[in-house]
Amino acid sequence: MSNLSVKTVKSLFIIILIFLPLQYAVVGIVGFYSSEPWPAFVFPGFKSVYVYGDNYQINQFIVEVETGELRLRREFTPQQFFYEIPNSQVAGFLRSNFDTADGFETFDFKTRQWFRERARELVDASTGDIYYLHRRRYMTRRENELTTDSVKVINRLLIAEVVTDEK
Amino acid sequence: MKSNSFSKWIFNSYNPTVEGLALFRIFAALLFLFFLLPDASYYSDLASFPDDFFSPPPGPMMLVDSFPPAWFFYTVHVLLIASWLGILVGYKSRVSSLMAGVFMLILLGFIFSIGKVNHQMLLVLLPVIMAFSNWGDAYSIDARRAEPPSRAEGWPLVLLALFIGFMMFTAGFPKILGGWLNGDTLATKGHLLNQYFVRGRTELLSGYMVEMNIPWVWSLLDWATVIFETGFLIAVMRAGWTRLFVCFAVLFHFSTMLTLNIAFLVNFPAYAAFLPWGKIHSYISLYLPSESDSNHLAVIYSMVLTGIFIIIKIIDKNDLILQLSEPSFDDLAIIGTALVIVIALGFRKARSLFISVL
Repeated sequence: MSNLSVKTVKSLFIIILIFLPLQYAVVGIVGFYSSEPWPAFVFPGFKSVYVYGDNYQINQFIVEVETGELRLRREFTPQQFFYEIPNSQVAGFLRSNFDTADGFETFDFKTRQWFRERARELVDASTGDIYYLHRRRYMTRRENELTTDSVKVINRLLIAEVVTDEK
Repeated sequence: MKSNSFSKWIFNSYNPTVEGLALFRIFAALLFLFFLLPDASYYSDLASFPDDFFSPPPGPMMLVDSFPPAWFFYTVHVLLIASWLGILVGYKSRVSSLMAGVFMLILLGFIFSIGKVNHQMLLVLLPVIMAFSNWGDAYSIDARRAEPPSRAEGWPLVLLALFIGFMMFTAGFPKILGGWLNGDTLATKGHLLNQYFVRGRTELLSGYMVEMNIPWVWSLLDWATVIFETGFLIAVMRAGWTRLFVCFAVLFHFSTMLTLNIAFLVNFPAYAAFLPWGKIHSYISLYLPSESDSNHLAVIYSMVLTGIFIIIKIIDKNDLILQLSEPSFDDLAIIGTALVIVIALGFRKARSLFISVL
């Protein structure tokens, strides 16, 4: 099989040595204003720090489904509700689709219908409104055990309203 | 870097043999075909998602409006398998290798358009870069052609190391900016808690680590992670340093698999490129009668690997040993084996150093 010439290979290395930092700069700029571009030659930074001393903040995301006549609320983790999405992608999926959503109007009818069908499949009963809930747990380590001090609801977003004929 | 040392770095860092590269080619192809193909059962889900869920990352995927139909995914998937089979048997190896990268790129582009990019570019880069190493010129259909056999190229290994080193640097550098090296933060612990409580990654040693409250150990892990990830870029300047950092990488991924339950198996074919394949070839050759057809070696080697991978798959699919949600038994078996190899190589190196000192 024919090999690349020495000159071509050296040129290729020079181009790549210039290209790699440049594309990283673009990833940083685009990522700051929007989200991480793709394809890009980067690994995840995981730069966020969540722990200071013995105090911890844990963000939790829940899908709440109203069920039955009494419209009791049942909670599902995103992994349960969007069960087909790989675990490694669920958090990013939530960020992309729900963090910037203003309400159920953000999603078109087909999407809301998808939420309703998924909820019905999971609760196996008639469903009402469906909410996306962002909670924050504040935890402290006491006597070598993690204990929850308080839980604060950061946002409750209606993502699919009950349809008229089901009211 | 002076022009002469620049050339030396590119062309003299690695001196692979075509036979050694061929063994790596077969290993990488089988590893990919058994464990690293995208999950085909996900395609119909993707295709049936509402268009609102199509959130492509900034880049070429923005030219598309929605997920393509399932048949498109399956077609590209079949072409990807065909490309890797071409690599396995060494049929039009360079073209097969390049196409394997292209088809993987297409599939990943759509899979990541759910709103989350996973960092699997090494699966694209590996076949594309190794296409130029002549890894298909021994134990292959290509090798049976009348053309004179070509020379194994070492520079693709330097290029691969450069990409890995740079990508590792992009993981380490933001950590410095994000405060991982501040004495009062425990970033590794924070990520562990996040994975444990939010993402439900509660397998293996994660529960034990959540309860572990030794701040200096956590701080040490923060520092070790940053030094390892940023140091990799410097290590690519020498083959020996690169191999050492690849060993650190195996240790790093093994520990994150046990504690954070994140197995980054996608990087392992690229790490495996830095194994001493020439020596492995010489070692395997000792066990074959000299009069036997040289292709028997490749056939026996492929069959043994296939057998091992089938056993791992069967154990994984039937939950015969560990009932883990994440990581899978596949991840555990392969990354665990990689660690054993690293320990064995380290022991051998230490022994030879000890003997040379004496």
